[in-house]
Amino acid sequence: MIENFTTPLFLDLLGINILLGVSWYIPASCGQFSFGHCGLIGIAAYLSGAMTTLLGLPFPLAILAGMGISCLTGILFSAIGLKSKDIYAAIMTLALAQIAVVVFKAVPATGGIMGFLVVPKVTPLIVWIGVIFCLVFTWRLENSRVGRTFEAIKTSNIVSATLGLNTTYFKIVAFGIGGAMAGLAGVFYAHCISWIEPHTFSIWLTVMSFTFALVGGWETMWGAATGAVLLTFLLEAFRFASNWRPLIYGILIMVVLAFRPSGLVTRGNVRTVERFFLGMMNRSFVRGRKG
Amino acid sequence: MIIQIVNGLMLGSLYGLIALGYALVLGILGIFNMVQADVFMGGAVLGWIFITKLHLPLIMVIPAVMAGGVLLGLATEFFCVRRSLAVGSYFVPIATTIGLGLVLTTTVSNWAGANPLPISVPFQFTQVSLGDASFPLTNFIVFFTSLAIMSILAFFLKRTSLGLATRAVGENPEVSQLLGINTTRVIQMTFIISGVIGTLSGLLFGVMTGAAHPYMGEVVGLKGICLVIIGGMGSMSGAVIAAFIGGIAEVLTSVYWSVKYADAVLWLIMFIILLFRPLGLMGKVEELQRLQ
Amino acid sequence: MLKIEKITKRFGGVIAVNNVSIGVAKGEIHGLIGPNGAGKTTLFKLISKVLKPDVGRIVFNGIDLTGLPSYQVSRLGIGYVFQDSLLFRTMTLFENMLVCGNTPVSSGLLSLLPYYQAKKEEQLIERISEVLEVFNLQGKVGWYPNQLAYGDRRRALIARAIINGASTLLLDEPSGGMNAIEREEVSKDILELRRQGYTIFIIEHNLRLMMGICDQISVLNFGELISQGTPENVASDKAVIEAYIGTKNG
Repeated sequence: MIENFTTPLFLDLLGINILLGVSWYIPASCGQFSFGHCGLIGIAAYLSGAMTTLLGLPFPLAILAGMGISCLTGILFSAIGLKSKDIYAAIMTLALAQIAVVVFKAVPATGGIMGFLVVPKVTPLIVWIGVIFCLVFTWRLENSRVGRTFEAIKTSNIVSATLGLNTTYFKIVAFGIGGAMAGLAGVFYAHCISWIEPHTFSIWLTVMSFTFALVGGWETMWGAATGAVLLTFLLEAFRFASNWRPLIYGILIMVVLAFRPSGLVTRGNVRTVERFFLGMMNRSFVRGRKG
Repeated sequence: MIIQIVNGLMLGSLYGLIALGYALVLGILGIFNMVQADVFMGGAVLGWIFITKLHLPLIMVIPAVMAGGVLLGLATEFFCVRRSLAVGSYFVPIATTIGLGLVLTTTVSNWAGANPLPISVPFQFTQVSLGDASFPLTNFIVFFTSLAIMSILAFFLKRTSLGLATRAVGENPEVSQLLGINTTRVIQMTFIISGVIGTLSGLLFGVMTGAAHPYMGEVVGLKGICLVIIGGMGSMSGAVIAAFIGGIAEVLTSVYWSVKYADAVLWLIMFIILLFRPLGLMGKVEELQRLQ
Repeated sequence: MLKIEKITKRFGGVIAVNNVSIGVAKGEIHGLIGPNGAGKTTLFKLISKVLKPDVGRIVFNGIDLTGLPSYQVSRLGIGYVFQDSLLFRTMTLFENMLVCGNTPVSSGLLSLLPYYQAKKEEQLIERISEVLEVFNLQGKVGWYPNQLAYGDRRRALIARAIINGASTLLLDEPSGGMNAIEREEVSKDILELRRQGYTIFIIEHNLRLMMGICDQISVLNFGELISQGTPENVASDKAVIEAYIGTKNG
């Protein structure tokens, strides 16, 4: 059974899932919820797939293009929604996802409903380089002024506004970064499973993304990553019950959110781990403090 | 063209019921009840069970389907909403309702298989003619039943004390508690009503199209949310008006442009409306403040 | 008869209310004063069960309120008007008065039946008219809250609590934001209510108003009860004067 966990496909998907979770987490860290994540992923997948397969352009270019278009689309749709209220930004992303699927089905060049085969297959190494890059980026983001601003806005939109923060700008930035990361996930996804069709980018991808983040813990990036890793391993271990996968997700969401609303890994947990590592490094400094 | 508009109105009446199912919960709790789509599906599936498999007469089917709606509504309130509301973020109850929806769809699809479940009623193929056009009888039944249900709901909200209590809890749960209103009970009643509307609209849809299947709720449910937003969050009448407009738009799109785009046209309309009228057709600013 | 027995409430490390015991006799006007942050509003929230006490209990007319949910405490006959209480914006004044949970009709299945409704409503409507007369709001029943003057709105809140069946009223800063004339009106209304037999427990910052109408006053500072007694006794109590040095009211 261990072999299942070491196939290139599994490693690819593990990395992609981490990207999905973290890319959903970033707008969430600002209090924004992307309902249409699948659309952002799908756009990048289709664009990069078309670029490499139909146009023969180099893969790195396709990666940039995919990230770029998802980033821009995320910015555009959230900006329109944020003109009114936060929840409208979320709804606009939902609209994006719906419209995107219809467009995918309608464009004949990419196979319409049938989908098409994407040519260069990506190796787990490339995927994980991307994942590590994004994790480091997000970690730096969390600990920067921008990250703290996100947290302030998430805690209280109104208070942040009265403190002079341009909340709308930061929310759009959050959607942009989340979008770019979702785009990267989409590019990898297309080049990993090779056959993409409109049906692949249904709302289920969004559900996966927010399940990773909510169940794992949406207070920190580590939560989203943990959730992705845990759930990917869990679902692979229960491969025989794949028909019931959505049900397992559903029950997990309901149970975890009922009893641990911030997710499994809370900020407190992360602080404890951080302090442990700090303690190991600065033993004499820490001794004697209550922490 | 007139014929298509009439068709659109009929579709719109059904959309109105679906939109109201969402609008009720949105109005009292400020959240989108994502299970509603699967309650809709549940109604159609119950219709299949009672009509096709158990051969019950329609007189018995309707109360049975309503009872199903009551149970689903209570289950939603208990499992998804009761503990999540305290968290403060509007997304947590939405996520838990999506979770319950997943449980429902997976259960049904594993149990009943991937093929559509047929629902046939004796008058299924009867046509009624108006002038030179003829419409299926089922469409008429759906239309008038939907209108009836919507009127009852309007009466309820405006004229009964539970309706008044519902509006009170929706506006200010704390003050309502202090006035002696049992907010939990009122919320449960709202979910029950929205559950009944959901299953009934599912039954009507199943009768109209002749089949039920596990994922029928997804697309329709999302359209319901779209319509509520077009109409303005917090406005019941807005939801109904948006539903009729949406029904007509969809039918016209599929006839004069292409069926492929019919599903997207509602989202396009929402996109445009939000650009120029961010609160929706009949949304009021004060309503939104609470939904934040 | 409201008895608050040894109530303590902590928020994390902060003790908001510390071992407070107060008795409010039937038909009296009992004032609760103290500097900002003394715990007065917290005490009201403990009585109304918006917050639960950590220690102690509250007994109303012989009934122990421990463990009861908020709406049941209201139905026992305690009415509240908090500083941030509001009339329901989307309802007319009249509909606001109709919203009350004290009748079993409001939340049960029976409320869906119009006929049962109608009979109960007739009685309710009569009562509403009577009470609104007292408050001089009868002519404005069809108005929406945003059309009413601020003073009218505050008094309408008290009216709503009474119509709800309250025999004891907890008023938190009823004269907040009012000018001198409006405050006089509020004083008169409260005295009229006492004359009609209501018990009133009132938080106020305006000491002159309090001295004028209260039978008994309790003084809180930093969550503790520092003085209790008639207005004259309390006004000359050294502890009270100390607590108030630095505030502008008086």
